[in-house]
Amino acid sequence: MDEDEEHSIVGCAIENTPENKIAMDEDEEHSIVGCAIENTPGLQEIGQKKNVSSSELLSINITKRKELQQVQKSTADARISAESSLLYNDRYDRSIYAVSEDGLTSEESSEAFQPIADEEIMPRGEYGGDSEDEEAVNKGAELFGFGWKTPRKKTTLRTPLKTPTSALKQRINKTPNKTPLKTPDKGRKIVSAQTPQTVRRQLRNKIVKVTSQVLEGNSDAESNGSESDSSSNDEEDRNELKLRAAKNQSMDITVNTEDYFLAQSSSVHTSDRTLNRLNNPRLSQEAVDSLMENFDDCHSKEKILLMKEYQQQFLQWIFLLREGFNILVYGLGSKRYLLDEFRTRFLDGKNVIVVNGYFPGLTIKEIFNSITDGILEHSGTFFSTVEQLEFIEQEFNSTKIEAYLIIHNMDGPSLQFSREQEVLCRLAAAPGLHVVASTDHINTPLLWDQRKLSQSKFVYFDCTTFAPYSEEISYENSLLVQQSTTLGLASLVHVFASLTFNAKAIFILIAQRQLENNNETNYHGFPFHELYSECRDRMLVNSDLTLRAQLTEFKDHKLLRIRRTPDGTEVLHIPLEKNQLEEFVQKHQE
Amino acid sequence: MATTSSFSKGCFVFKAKPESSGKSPRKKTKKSSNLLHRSNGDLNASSLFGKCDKSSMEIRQDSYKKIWMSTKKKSEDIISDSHKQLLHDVSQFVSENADIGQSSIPTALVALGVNLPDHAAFFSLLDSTLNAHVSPFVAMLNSKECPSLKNMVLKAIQKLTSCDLADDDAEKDEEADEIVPVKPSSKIKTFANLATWYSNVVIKTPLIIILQDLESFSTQQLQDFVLLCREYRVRNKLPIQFIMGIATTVTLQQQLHHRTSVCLATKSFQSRPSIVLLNHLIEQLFMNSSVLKLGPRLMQLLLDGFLYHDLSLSSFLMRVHLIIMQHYITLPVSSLCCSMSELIDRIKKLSAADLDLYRQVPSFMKFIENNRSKVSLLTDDKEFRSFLQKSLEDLNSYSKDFSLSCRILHCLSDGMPDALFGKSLREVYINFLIGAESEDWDRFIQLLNISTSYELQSRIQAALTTLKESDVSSALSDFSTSLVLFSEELKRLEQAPDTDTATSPKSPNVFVPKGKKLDKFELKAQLLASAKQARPTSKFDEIKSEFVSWLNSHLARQLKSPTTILFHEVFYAGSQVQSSWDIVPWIRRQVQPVPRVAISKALSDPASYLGCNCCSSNGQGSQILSTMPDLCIVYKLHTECGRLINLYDWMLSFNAIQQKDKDDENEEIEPIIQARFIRAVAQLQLLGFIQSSKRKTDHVARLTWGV
Repeated sequence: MDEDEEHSIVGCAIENTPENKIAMDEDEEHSIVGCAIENTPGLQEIGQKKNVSSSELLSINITKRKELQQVQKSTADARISAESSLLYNDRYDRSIYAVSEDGLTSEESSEAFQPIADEEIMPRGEYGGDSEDEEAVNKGAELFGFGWKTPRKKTTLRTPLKTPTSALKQRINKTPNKTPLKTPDKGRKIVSAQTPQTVRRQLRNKIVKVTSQVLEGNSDAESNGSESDSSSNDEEDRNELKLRAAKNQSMDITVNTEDYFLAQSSSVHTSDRTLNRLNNPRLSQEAVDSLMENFDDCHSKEKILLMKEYQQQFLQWIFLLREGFNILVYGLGSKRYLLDEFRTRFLDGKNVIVVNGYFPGLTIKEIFNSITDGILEHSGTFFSTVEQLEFIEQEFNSTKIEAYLIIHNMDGPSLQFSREQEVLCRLAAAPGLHVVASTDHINTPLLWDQRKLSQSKFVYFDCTTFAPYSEEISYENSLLVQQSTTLGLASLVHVFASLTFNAKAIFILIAQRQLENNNETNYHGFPFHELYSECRDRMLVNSDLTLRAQLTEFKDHKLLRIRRTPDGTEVLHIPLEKNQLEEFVQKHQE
Repeated sequence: MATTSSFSKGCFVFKAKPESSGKSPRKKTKKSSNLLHRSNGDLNASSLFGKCDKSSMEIRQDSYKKIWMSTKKKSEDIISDSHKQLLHDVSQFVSENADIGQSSIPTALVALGVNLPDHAAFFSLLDSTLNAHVSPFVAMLNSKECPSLKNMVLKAIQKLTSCDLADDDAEKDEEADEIVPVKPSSKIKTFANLATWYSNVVIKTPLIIILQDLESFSTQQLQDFVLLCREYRVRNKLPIQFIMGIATTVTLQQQLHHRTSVCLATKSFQSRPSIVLLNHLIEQLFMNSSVLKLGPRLMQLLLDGFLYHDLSLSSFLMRVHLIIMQHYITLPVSSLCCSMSELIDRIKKLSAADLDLYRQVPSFMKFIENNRSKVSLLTDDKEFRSFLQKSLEDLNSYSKDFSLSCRILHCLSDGMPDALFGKSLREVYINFLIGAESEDWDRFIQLLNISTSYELQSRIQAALTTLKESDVSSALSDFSTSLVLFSEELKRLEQAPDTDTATSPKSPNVFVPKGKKLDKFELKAQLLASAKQARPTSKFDEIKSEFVSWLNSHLARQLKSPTTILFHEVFYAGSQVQSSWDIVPWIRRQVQPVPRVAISKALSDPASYLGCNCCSSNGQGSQILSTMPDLCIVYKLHTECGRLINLYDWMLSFNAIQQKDKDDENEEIEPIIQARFIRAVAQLQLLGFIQSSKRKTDHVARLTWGV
């Protein structure tokens, strides 16, 4: 309990005193070490998980204590700077509220300056009285508390036991009638009264140690990795490499949280040049592939060495798997080849299931089926996936059967959801199922909460291979590859050729309408009922059911998109670019 | 190699048995039986142990298994022991409320703390306890298997009734083995069915429904379920009871709505905080006579992981498992890391090569450097063997004394202001394992000096009881006698009310005479003068100074960290050894894995992984070299941009870097450059650094910030 108290005291002390909070905000320029780069807006992309937990967060946890020290030291000057920046912000920030597009900046500034938004600094009428602004402020704060959307998750991390709402309410309800700048001593006393001098000293020492360790962490990991193999054929070469590598290991990765605000607040100035200026704006996928085939990378020798180094860990992997652990490999570069190598060399002739997580059409059901049908050779069917999962767990718990599950890209597009991860972790927990998985996305650790982490018993290996992700990206719609458009037009022509006369006419109708309205910015699409009446006038269909049947044909070939506008009408839209559509319509007018 | 890529499916099965190979043409046709694999696997495993030193691999593997099994068993016992009281309380509560008299449902709220991964152990214990002592009808539910009310009801009823069937089966099995157990009757699907089923049950024991994670159930669902249960409890006399596991008490108000909570007759139970358990675990696992102990670095690492990250004992134990494994795998000198009874045998079996390994241990090398006279140990195997045996035995007994001394010190310093060495025994132990700071010790002595005789007496008594509890080894037997001596002297002092202390009169001039005002400096001068006056020593002071000097000479000697002793590397995992034997970096990566940092580092400084000359940036992190992998160049270029990135400009700069050497000024981009750029951008997208954006044509959004 003691340690626990220390822990929470530190957090609470910062929480409770408004002036400390300001100091905290000012303190942000002190760099957050190492892994604090968790805080990215990209978090939204991978799914908004409430129980954010990854071991990387540990170091953030630790830095916050470091901040406490800094708070105490720098309360005084932080106060001054808070004051000045506050005045500044009050004057200028309102424009940011109005302008800001995504609300992130306004949340931030509101969060930081909310407690002091009172008469003493600005007349109420001018700032505080504006109810709309206040609403925005509250909304922003709420978003901040709940959604984990804003990158500054520190507040919530600080009080892991509290629900975000209650913590938030405390903050909002505390109306600082007197400006907190006037009573800084009280707050400081609370902090020092609760944490004895020695504890603070110990903490300080520890924090210094831990931060330096985190910074070095990768480097000694590296040295360990390279030294662990000795049976390489070119020993001398290797030693040389090691020396060279050692030179660069002092580089640390620090992140300045202030950068985030710089990046978000500054308006984006980019040139208006587009890819059309190139001779060949969009290469086809085939062209890229054929071009890349002839290209050989300059570091192939080093990459082979790296690969060899990782392959020496295979023995350890198999032993760990046997002991009930599971393996997770991370690091830059495709790990497909490595895992395949592991499979062919060590899992040959055993029950193995290979799952390509990067495959877009993958479902959990498919994984289950390959386990029950392929490995367990179960002939029955299941009512639900839950039942199937229970069956699998039961089988691998009770019987002696063993199977190895190799998951390439555990964070692939179809697996990057809480439910899927939950299931995978449950599979990993089964004693008979051994999981070897790889991850690539930088925000993957956010997918796992405490329970999943401990359930899956992952042992982590840094396998930075630098190998190209050629297989993994082949399914993805690349940004620059000329894909959708050509394919669209080609498939349109093919589908169109096989249509009945009526269907062709309907499609041309929609296309013409779209071309007519092309210049209007708020053209959403052809309303369904209008299309119906027009089709009836031309005697193309006799009921709206037949029209729908015709449209389904287009929809299935992705030639047509059906959406609902905010007012509820169904509109139809052809997802093709203007010039291509024009070309097409001209060709098929008759 | 069989291919595992396809445009039509994402799962590929490779079955062990060769019969089914017709299904999948890619199957391996190599014939082998399961038995063979098993032996293959073991062979693999042993060769892992033999990576550093082949001769002792079997011994080390055996020791690993033995040590881990005993550690596991011990920890499981400790954990189940610690839950004993709580389990007893809960099951008593359940059996006390077995009657159907009251309309509200008896509910035990068990607060288990935030360490969610540990809850499973408690609930399985609870399940077996309830089954054995209270009622066979126990349904354990967690929120994951009950996404809706329907599922929840079905699951609960299925579990309640299947418990009964399992029991019946067992009985039947005893009577006649040939009866094939029928699948649980799926007819019972509603509470009404359950009621009729229950009316046929012979032994009317309560129906217990355990909700493992109350917080994760939706409020509405929970409310409906509770109301449903209450309805059937009142109307159909179903003796339903709840046990709810909660992590924090904060959400309880929201979770149990007023309408729900009026149906419940709750009583709350509190499990011991996991930190208490951890302290206990460390005391039992590493402070008692265990073979393998944790060195200071690893201890610190594990504690950091526990205290600042998960508070979870199961994760802690998993890490301990990894440490034990790594210690025996990586450290070639771990073959002697065994109990003292086996030691002599093992030392006899050591080969000359093994002995050489022991000579490489850093603490021994240091010892030889300081004692040049013992140089013969380096060459004489026989002498070295006996030296090794003696040192290891010494180390072992020292470790025991060390833990005991920590206990004594903990008793002596307990409750002192500032908690010098830590409040709990675990903290004291770790502090001294690391090597406590001398200023802490000085302060401790100071505080002892100003303590009263009563305080001192109680502290010494506490230390004495600790000593009595543990089996006292030879080195510490005199501790006990001298402590008894001090205690007796203090007692005598108390009984004879001291006369001599009263004789020293307080110098009156310290106090300011009334009416006269002293200024600050005068007061200071007076105080200084009075402080200089030597106070006459009393009998108590004499005893105290004697005690303190005893502490300084005896106890302090025993509190030197064992990691300064010869050959400590063998028994203390994670000691400072040569880097190829060092397991700490590896363990650190398991406690604090940093996938994101690894990727960022590889991208911004590829030379650190590739180890090539061409890409080393010589300390200038932002430098972009054309020799770097494409992905790194594209990444580095993108870090210079804001929220949005113009693809065309990005490609131009990529081209510029590639063309830097060629020195021609044309803006034409070769198709190969374009293709490489496209590849790199797609990979960055896969890694999650960028995302397509609709804000502007041919722009992408950057998802990270900073470097």
